[in-house]
Amino acid sequence: MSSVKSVFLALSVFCVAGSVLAEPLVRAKLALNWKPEPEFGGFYQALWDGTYKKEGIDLEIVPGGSGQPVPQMIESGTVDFGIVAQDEVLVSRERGANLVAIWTVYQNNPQGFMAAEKHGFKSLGDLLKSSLKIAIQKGMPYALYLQKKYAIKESRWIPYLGGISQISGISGDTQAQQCFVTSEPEIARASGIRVNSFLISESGYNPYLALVAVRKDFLEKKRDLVQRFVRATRKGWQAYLSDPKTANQAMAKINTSLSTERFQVIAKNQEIFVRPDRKAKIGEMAASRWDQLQAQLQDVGVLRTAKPSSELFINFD
Amino acid sequence: MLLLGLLEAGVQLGWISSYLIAPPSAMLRYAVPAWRDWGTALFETWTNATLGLGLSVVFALGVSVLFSYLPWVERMFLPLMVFFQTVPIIAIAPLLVIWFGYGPKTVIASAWIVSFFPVLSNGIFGFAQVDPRSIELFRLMNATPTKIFWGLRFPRSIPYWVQGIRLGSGLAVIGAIVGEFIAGGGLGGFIDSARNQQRIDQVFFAVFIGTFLGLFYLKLIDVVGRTWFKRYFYPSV
Repeated sequence: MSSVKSVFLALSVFCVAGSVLAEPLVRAKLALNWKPEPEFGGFYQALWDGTYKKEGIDLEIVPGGSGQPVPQMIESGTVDFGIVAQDEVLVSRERGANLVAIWTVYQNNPQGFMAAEKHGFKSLGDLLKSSLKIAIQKGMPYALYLQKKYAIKESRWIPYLGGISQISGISGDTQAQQCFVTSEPEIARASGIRVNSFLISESGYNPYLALVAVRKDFLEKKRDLVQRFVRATRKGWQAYLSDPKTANQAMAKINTSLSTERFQVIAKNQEIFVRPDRKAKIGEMAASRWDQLQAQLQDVGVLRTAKPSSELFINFD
Repeated sequence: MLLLGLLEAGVQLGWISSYLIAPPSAMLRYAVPAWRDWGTALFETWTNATLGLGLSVVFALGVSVLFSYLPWVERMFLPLMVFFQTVPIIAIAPLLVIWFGYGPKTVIASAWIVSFFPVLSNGIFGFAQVDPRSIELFRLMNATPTKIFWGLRFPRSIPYWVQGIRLGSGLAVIGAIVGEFIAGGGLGGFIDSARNQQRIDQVFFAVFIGTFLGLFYLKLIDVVGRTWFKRYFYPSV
């Protein structure tokens, strides 16, 4: 009996060792451009439920913060994958980087502006044409687009300091600030501040957001790894959209500025931006959207030339 | 110059990506036609840093004279003054915006906070560097404490004041640029905007001229101190 056990044990060890030797995990890094929030829920879901490992990837998620230079981190090889905006990919290509987008979290852009309810703004145009100062990340392509479209004076832009500090401060009711309409207005309301929020996409500027980008040569050399990453990411996001609670509870332990309940509300709010069409495949991008954005950025002088969209992104199954 | 040459060669030979590090030629290509843009930013930073440093000198002079007359006040408040030396300006800059609003007031306050302590501590040290025999001589000649201060202590402390202002000037430029990141305008606002546009040439150029602004102050104060106040300088300072 003991000899049977020994043979069984030896076979088990052989099989396990064989499978490990056959498919060693590949280490990879994903840089976020902000702290762990529902915006990145699907990535954390796939990390914590072992989906990336099942695809042979030992992924490390590197949380970000204000000013994290993710495009430069990808280009320099500091990280393999990074979260960027669609317009950031285009601007980086204009400046000589070789980033290619492989995934988008948001199909529709949840970025917007919010201002105290007492102003009675009914639309984005009302807010942008008012005399309120607006806290914004100056120089961002969408800021330049809005500045041109709504003839906004330079002096009305003030630096964005993060969170809801500029709507909740002493002079909060005299200024508006940028936000994710899925997130900051909720936080403001929870703090007792009544706000109205408006999507930037009302202006016609609607880039994909929270894209995963890689370097072009990385994609060419490690296409299989990238494909496995996308496969795992899709599974992660599908699981997160079905039930975000477990991942939200875990993320709330890393990012203690939001409670689990707040995570849950934001995750629910963002669903329509991640999956506006339940039949469509999440994470995929359309060439027409890339062409449209390039035309808009050429119009405001951010881009000199447009590139074929096939060079800018790739959809994996 | 050697470093700039290496930087240029590194990019031209393809060793370094121009997307990550701007070579001098790229900085020049930007700087020459756009001189009004960066010139305006530089002037704003210069103005704010100068006013911040000026406030530091005025406050430091007032406080150190008070300390000199009333040593118990010095014992009581000097530890508090160390706050200005140790305060992480980047952490309190958002508070300055709440108190002073967006624009130059916050930037000047930021420049003042970081440049105040070196000027003050050098001033206090300077007032203490008087030969007791000289004070004795003044007293023998029935000089009042005020006469001793303005006739002896203050002139003897001038080299230390110059040294303190020299140290504070570089910090005032840093304080102004940090303040501008939060309050807008100047080189800080310029760098912030250029970074968002991934304009590494503009970021590098702005850092470069910010450094030159600091060096300009150092040299200016050195020259002014050693020409206008030449007779007060000890050989050792």
